[in-house]
Amino acid sequence: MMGESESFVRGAGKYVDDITLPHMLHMAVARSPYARAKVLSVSGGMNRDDLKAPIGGFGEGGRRDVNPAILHPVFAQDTVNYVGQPVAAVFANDRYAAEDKLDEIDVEYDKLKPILTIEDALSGEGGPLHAGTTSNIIKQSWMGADFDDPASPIMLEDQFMIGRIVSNPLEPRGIIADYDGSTITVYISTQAVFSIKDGLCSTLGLDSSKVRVIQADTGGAFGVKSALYPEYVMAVCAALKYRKPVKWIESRSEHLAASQPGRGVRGTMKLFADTDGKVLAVRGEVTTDAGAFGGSSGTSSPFFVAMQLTGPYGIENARVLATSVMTNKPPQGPYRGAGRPEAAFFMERMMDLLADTLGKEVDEVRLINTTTHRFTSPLGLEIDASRPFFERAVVELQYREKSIRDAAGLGFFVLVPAVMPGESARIRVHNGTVDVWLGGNQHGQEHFTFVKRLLSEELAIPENLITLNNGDTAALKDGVGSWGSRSALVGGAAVIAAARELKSQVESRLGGYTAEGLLEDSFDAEVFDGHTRQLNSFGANLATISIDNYGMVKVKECAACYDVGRALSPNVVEGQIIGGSIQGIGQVLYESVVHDSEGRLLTKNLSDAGVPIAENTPEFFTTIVERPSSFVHRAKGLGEAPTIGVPIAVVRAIEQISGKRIRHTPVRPEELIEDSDA
Amino acid sequence: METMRTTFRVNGKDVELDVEPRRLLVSVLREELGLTGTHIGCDTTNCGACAVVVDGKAIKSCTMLAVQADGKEILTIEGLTKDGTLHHVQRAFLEKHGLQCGFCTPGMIVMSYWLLNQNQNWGEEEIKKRLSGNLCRCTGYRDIIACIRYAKELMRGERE
Amino acid sequence: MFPRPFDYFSPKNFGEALELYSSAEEVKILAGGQSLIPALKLRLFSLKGVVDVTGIKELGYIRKDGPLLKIGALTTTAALENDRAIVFSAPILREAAEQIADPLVRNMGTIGGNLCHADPSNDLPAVMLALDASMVATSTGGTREIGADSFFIESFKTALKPGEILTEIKIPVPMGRFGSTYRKVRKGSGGFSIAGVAVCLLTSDDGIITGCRIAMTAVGATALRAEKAEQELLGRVPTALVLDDVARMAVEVSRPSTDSNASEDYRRTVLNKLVKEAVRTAYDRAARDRDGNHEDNV
Repeated sequence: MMGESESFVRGAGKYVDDITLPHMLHMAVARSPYARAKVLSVSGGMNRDDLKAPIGGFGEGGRRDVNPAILHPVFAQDTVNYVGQPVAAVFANDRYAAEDKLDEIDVEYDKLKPILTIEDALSGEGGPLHAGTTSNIIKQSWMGADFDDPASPIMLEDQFMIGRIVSNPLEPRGIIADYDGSTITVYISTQAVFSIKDGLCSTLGLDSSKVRVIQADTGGAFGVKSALYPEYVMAVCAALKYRKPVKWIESRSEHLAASQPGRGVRGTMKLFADTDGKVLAVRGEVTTDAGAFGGSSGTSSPFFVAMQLTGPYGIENARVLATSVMTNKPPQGPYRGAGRPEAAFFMERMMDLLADTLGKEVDEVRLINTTTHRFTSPLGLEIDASRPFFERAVVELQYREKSIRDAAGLGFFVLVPAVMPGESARIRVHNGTVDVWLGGNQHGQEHFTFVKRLLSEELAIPENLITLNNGDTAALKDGVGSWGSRSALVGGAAVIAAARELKSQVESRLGGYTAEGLLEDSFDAEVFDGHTRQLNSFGANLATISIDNYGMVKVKECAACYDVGRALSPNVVEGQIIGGSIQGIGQVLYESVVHDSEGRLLTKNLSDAGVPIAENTPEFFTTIVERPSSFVHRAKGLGEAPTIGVPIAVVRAIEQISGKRIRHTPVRPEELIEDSDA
Repeated sequence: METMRTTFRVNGKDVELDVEPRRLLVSVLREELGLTGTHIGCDTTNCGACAVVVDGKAIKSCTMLAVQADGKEILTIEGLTKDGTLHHVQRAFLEKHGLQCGFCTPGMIVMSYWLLNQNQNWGEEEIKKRLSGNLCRCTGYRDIIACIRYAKELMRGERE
Repeated sequence: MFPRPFDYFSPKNFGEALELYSSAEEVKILAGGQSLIPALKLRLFSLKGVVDVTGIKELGYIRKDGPLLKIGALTTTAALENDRAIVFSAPILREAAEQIADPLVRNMGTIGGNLCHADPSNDLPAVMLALDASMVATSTGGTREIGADSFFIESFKTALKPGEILTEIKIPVPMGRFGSTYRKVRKGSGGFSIAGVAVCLLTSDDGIITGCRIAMTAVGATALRAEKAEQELLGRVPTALVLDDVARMAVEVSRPSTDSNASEDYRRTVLNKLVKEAVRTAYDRAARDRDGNHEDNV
């Protein structure tokens, strides 16, 4: 039973590096040591002489939403634009020999001065990264109707920076590409087999009926395995050329340098409020450091952040300038939260500032701004009435008691799952067993638990007959992906829709539905369950911390109160909350990816990257609120909630204890250390 | 490339291989011996996904040469399961939800098994400290600690 | 991620090891491998071969020999954590060993390897300085002792000459009312040190400091002593004012640098506090150290 926990505890998981095919070649990738340079010559291995295409391809079949001049080339062409950018690939019968073969690659570079910050990118100094463009702005536009500044007594401004974070799932990226002369079969660690398939086809101009992408067991992803990477295309090209399976498994160093890190967003906020604390208007600027190329999620990131900027509050006027900007760093990608934590951070920091300015409690000021009815913000965010949830959350989190005892930080947010456009599910019944495929592919979130629960409820069959298979483009007509807190929500709805389709098949064939009737015969139902409306939910976090003599923060308590609609699997819900909370703590206290002034990566290993360890876990308190959603299973989104709420609460707690206003993450101990002894 | 005859015991079975000196123990376990339960999660000896027990000591098999295993006795995650029956530690991780994506899990289980065989009197803080060489990105560790506590109870026969 | 090819030698006895090491070209000693193998994997340098000395069991031991604690170079850092002789004679060594990397690394890593690798952030060099230890080095030409003060030359460079292998560490067991500690500050999520301080001191029965060694790590090209700071403590009781001066003097001789984990200014501030904390702790332990067995140094 692939993907299920028992095989994992036995060591019987089948991750992509565990798969061996006959005559398999191993690929190693030569990468740019410079953040920005002209590539004068390349020799050896497979390189730009073999393929000129960018990710997403050229022309008719290729992507049209981004200027082709700024797309990520599979092999570096005339320039390189980040340290670690792939330049060439070599192949050998084993991976040690493949790494040796990298010595055969010879590249002549002409170094250029890299552009490493948003400010530098916007200044125009050093010229645009890419020929064929006039600036480093990928996309920029205003969101929200303009308004006259209200004549409000309170006007507060501040600027924030959320630093980039490398996703760092324990299993690095990996792929095997195989070509049998007719079909290309890809085994891959991924969140979305269809994204990979579509990307490969458009990049290489492949016939989609000749490409199959199969998800191996996937050891975590958190966003970084949704994209199509150059290395994947290289492996497929090599399989086509050599007619042998080609395996590529990245090293952790490559993951730190060349996978798509998340976050990297700057926010400027201007808040207009009255003396009660009611926010009348918000003006904002959201700028994402999208890295060296357009076309990754970095391009759309600031718009998604901007859309959510008003959060769970009824703010009637809001206008935001959203900009994605290129720098000489790897392209930005989604990392658990993917814009949601940034938006909430910017607004919540202003709420705290507002409370401090007015001498009010932080929960009072938030309460005043909650809504008592459904509200659509000027930026397009739809929320239910937020007051009832917030009032309950403050009580469940014991905010009053804990803030007196311990200077607790509070965070309140809305989670916007990536509902659109919906999801596919297929259920096949055969020989008394039930096989399920989802368009979005689990990578640690244990989707099999909600699939089993929902199907056993819907079809009245025992859970142990049901298997959720890993993603496979041959098993479904199409599919979307697992990210953005969407899987239980739209994947669950698709599974129920497919189950209902199955039931009507049984009814047609047998006159009525029974579980026995279903299991004794063969049935197959596939559905694409489309959804376009937002389905947002609320959450709140509380945190208490201590700071030692060396400026080191320890999170003492981390409390969550989340509305999950319906907890389809309480164990899994709890696991998502704890795991996500530690990532939220990591963002604030430990995690970063740092370059020097030449653009060289200084973050050399997992401990430099700041991935939290067991000692970093606080005491957890979790309250699940279940206010059923309108979806058929009554559940709401969850996965990213802790990454949104926890950083806000922790940062506020640090602010309370240290007396220093915090405007960015990570917060370094040297910002908090006092010269004299505590 | 010169290879060296290397003889050792893995999960109770004798093994004789000709390996290049530079091959890491983790590569040989995974590739020559097909024991893919032991994983590679990093290249700087941080993550512990490669943990195995060699001559009674839990070590990172990515930071040992296979030729150094000559004459030694190795236990991998696969070796904890006996005749299909899960070891108490494996069972504990399964029952008390100590994993999500499963990639850190073999190393985490092997290390937990080793810790419990060293000393069952360590408290939660001590255990957490001793897991500093085993990273998990999914679970947030809390349930892993609970699994170790439960495994201890199973090993002591306090639970059925 | 994987090393370049090299030859592997596993001598069965020490004589063979010495021969090999002195005659073969471009070879390094492989002990625990917890520093060498990671460097080979990242292809930071190349070599022709490694001489694996871990088969020479007689190089791993801990024994008290009169006034000296003798530790074989191949003793693992894990073994240092659990040994009774160390607990009684040099508890700072146990305290430091517990803080090295993680338990998996300590099961393989050796005291000899930690000292010879001479990473400026390693823990044990500072402890050797604080204990006034000697390193015994043997080559085909004979044996010599090198005091800790002369052993650490540069980052990743010791006083060992080509062909010399570190075989033993000799630690003079402190006599009298003794207090010690090794304390380091590292990034909250684990990893290399920001600064570390090792303090060994002796006091009279009425609490005057009569002997003192302070060593620091991760704040210079090598572990280094703070001799002026030590002098400042002699004949005194460590009051807050005295400690202010002591810490300031220690920081003055340090040469911390800025890296992705910490700036040099932060390292100096941390070092200042750490020195005070370490001296206070060592002093309190000395006060509790009544019977000359130092196991109360906890």
